[in-house]
Amino acid sequence: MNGLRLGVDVGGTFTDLALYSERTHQLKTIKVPTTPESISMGIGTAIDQVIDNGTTPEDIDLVIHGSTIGTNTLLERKGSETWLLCTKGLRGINDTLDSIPPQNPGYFPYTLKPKPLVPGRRVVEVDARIAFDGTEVKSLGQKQIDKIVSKLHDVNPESIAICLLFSFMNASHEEKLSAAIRARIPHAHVSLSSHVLPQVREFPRLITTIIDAYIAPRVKGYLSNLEILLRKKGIKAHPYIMHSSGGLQTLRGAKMNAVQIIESGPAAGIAFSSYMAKVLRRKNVITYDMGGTTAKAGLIVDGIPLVTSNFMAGGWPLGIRSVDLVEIGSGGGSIAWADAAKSLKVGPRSGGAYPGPACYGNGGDATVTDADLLLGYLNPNYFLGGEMDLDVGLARRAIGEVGDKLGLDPEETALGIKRVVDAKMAEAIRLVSTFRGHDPRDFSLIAFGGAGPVHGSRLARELNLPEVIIPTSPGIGSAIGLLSSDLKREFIQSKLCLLTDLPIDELRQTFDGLRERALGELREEGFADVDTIITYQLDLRYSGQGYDLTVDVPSRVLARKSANIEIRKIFDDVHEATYGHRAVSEPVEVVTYRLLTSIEFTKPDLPILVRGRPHAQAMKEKRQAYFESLGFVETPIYQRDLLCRNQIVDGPCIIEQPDSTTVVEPEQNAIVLPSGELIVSPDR
Amino acid sequence: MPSDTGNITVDVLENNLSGLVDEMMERLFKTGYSTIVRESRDGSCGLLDAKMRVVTSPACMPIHFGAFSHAGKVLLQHYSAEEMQDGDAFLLNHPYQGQITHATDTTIIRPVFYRGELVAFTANMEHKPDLGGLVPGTNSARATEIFHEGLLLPPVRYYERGAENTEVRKIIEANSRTPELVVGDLRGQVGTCRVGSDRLIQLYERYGRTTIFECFDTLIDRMERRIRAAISLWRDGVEEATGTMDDDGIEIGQNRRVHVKVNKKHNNIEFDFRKSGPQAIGPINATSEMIRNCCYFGVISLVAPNIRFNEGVTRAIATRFSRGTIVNPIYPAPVNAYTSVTVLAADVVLTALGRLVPSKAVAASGTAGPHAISGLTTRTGRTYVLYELSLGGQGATAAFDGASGVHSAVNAGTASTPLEIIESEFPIRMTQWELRPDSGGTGKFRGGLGNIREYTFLSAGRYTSRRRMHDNPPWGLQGGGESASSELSLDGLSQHAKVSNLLVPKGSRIRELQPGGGGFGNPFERDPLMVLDDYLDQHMTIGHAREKYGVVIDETKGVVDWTETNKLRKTREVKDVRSHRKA
Repeated sequence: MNGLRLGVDVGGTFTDLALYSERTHQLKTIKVPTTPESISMGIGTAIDQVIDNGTTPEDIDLVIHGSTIGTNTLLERKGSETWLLCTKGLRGINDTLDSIPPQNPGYFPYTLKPKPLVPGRRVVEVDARIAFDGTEVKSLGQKQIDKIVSKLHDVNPESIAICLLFSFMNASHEEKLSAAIRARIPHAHVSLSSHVLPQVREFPRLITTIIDAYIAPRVKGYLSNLEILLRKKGIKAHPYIMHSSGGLQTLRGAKMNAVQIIESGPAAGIAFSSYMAKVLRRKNVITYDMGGTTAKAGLIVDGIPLVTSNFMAGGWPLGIRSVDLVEIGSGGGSIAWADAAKSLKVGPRSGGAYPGPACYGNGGDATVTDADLLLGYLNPNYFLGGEMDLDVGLARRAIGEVGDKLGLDPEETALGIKRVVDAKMAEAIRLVSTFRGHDPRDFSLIAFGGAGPVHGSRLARELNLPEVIIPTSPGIGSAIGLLSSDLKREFIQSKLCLLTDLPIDELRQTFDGLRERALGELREEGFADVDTIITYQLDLRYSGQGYDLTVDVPSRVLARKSANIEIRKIFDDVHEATYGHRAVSEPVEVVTYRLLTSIEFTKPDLPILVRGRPHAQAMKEKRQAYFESLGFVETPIYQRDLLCRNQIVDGPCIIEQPDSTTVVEPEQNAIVLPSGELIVSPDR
Repeated sequence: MPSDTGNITVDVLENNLSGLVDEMMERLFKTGYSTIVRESRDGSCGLLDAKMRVVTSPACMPIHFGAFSHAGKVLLQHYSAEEMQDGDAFLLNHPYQGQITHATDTTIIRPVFYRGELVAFTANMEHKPDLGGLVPGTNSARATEIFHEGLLLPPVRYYERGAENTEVRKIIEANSRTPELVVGDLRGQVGTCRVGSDRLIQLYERYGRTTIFECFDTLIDRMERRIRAAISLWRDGVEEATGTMDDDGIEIGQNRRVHVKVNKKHNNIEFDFRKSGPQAIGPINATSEMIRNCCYFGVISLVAPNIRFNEGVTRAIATRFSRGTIVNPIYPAPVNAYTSVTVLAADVVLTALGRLVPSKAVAASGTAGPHAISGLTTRTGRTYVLYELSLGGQGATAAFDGASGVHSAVNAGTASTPLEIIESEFPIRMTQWELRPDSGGTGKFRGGLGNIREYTFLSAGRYTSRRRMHDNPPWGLQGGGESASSELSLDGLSQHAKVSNLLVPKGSRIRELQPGGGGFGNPFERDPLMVLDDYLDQHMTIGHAREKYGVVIDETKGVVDWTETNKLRKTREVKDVRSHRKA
């Protein structure tokens, strides 16, 4: 082992690379424009730049990739022409798209539904049947299989999804069809619902399987190109890709289950926050990433990022585990307007990069960025480190037009815009925190993305958060996130049983079986048992409920004779915290066993970009900025890289750096940590 | 600098309050026991101020909008604010006392105290699988008075200072065929009201009592202004519309009409239902509040479909009814099939408004209504009740086909029961679920398609439904055709729309054909390639394409035969297209 690790994060605009040496503790980062026409071209350029002096490609032990290929293929509808095999008589599961939340929420009399990914003409019915308990009701004969495969052979499909009723109880029919297709049409991709999402409720299983089939050929092609490129560059290491739920998957694994990496990119951002939390010893963190068109909020509880099993991708409900993000259409570019009842609205329309906010001078509308400029938070001469001038006059004019409809002056309107946006973001943060039974007052906020640090301090005040953490470079977070992830996997077994009827030996044996499977798989990839950390979880519910809650079962509890009673109590507590009630007289059912494995890699030391001694010009100027309790006041402006470690600056103040601006509210202060991060917290 | 930022505080709080109610909703379903709650999401939540005005309620269940307020006012007649304590939760379900949909929609109202003062109420309304009555599932087609429609509860104190009143619970348990599900779901209702209360108290602590009270007033005033401002832009005038209901299953062949006259002047609008038909002996009546909710729904749909409901909407909209009509029945007339009237009333309202604002016109939509399937489960020997809502098709507009596979717009937030949940929990095999070809009303834009759902009984059971649109399917507009009618059969034998406790032997099949939506515009003007798409996707037969749309499809090649199509479209007039005319 040479201890070199490479993180490759490909976003919509930029490709970021981070190369970390465990030996020298050096971290190098490179940012190049993403080349959409040939994604690997951008990566290739970046690799050349990052591996220039002293290192050789062979020294790289591990390559970790984060990508938006999955989500973009789906959102831009650039996937494969997909066929569907479904149970005879039940094509309505696909055709009705029931359970799809309306695209236009509310009581519109005309619902618009997304166009199905597989239209009726590409659906083939399979006359065979499995019952709810897995028994075969109607068998699937060779004759029918041949007929179906011949039909498919004639149309030469690129991709096929197979989703039969109750295949999660008995996959034999799906597997027979798949084997026959592979033999006859070897180039076609096949996705089986019993592999993609072996869970009850046919609609999410069907949609998830179809989306897997729809994006898989593109994802496979992309990943193969990446492998070729890495080999060409002389990199021999095993490449991994970030999983939607935050773990790492082998490229081979990703090719077999493409839908699992659909949120790979955003998961890297969460991994970054998670790492920051660990370095700074914060257990509970709200991650807050605000860009141009959207803001994303996620949650880390007790050091672990929250994941969800019901992720929405482009309006499609996916049944995969993914980092639990709430994304709202409020970013720096979101447009402000007044409705008929003279109330102020912000978004969801965005000015995007072009024309952008009014202050860019391209004829854009009033946006959040314009409001931030008018309120004095942004420096018209130091946007992107001075690469772009902002026009305050244009911002005032555009905001004034909105204000005229409300009877407010431009500054009042700008303040209104900021408050509406902050309220929406606070709501998004509540959706990921209080909504899931967590009190935001127990959490630190990590604010990143260009606009995150502008609004973070105010949000902290709104939500009574104890502090806001501003990373050293809010811009390269995701690439560092890739290097700081651990190799996480999840192994699941569903086995329904009443908790009281479950012998403790069986409970332990089931988990033991999962552990053997997990360790075996990891050994094959070259990881030792001693390096593997294991967590046990159970999905539980009161008998008769339809949805279950996942609870952690500490191994010390499993070891005790009274395990069943203790697990019961843990569940009652979690249920009451979530739903406001407990049902002590109702029996509890065990639904699913979950075993999580984690192999921890050494984390990169972040570059310490902080001065040891005070700099006389750290405070570079003062300008008028607005704060709610004070109105417009002369506000000190600091240059971030001139602040020294342990320096405390009192709010109100503004701290500028090329890629972002940090606003510190009155009665707050910011301290510079020895490692360079800023901590904004209320005065005590 | 800003002196008056009060309005902005209201905007901030509006987001907080909406989030609070959405949070209650999500948890209500996730903690549910019965399939009608956890799978079909048949319920909604609301926040009321101390005067029982609705401050916010989500968009997904228009039929519950004003009901919360009425139920709350009745509660205050039975219990004064002084008698209420922190941790209490009140339960009621009486359709006449509380203007509640029907008795199976139990309502929980929980007072919220801030520093000892009663400041607001959190509430929810949620369907229960069974509360006694004539049939499993409670809601019987044979009911002729409210006493046939399950246990009736005036407001009672169901939780006292956080502890369940076990006496009330025992009465409920003794009156339900599925006591475990009902009590489990009620516990979830109380729990989610508590979750909502806790969060509201945090807001009081944060902003103070006065600010929140002022905010409630402002939100309501602002909503009224918004609705009136939008109405004032419409042309003044009087428009009428009529829809016809199938018989009530008791007086066979006796169709009744729902009629509305809309009178719009300046920023006022009034909906007059006085010319609607007389109340029915059977359960297809609805209390007037349900019909008012349809008017609120209709106006909001045209004004801004994504806004949420509050009391302000009710101030801007006036209604008139005659006592003893199907839309305002006299106690103790039965009301359990209230959706039959409300779904029709919503479409009559939309049709009348569409004449006032032609750009927003939409043809009538189709859903056949719920059913209850019951029996004894082979596994546990207990009585089961599968109460399900039905999917149908939406009416078309001047720009879009109606959507297929949707619930009626007045309870748009509901969902169907997954097939795998049905088969796992009930002795039933789902043998067909498909969109129903040719069922959408014809038109330049066609109505959404209905669907076919077939249930094979693996052990003997019973089937009850109060279906609609068997004789009077949803209408089209501007030359668009009506949708296919609802149909119901047992082993191929056609059944009346209203059946009660129909015995279904082991191995027999219940088959439901659901209606679609009405079409919009002349079908001969429909793009032949859209007709071809429907044919290729098995949504339309080749004969229907030729007969109704004048499009000839080459079956072997799967393409439009343009020569024949042009010939046919020139030589033939539109036939068999009955449009809905003014009354």
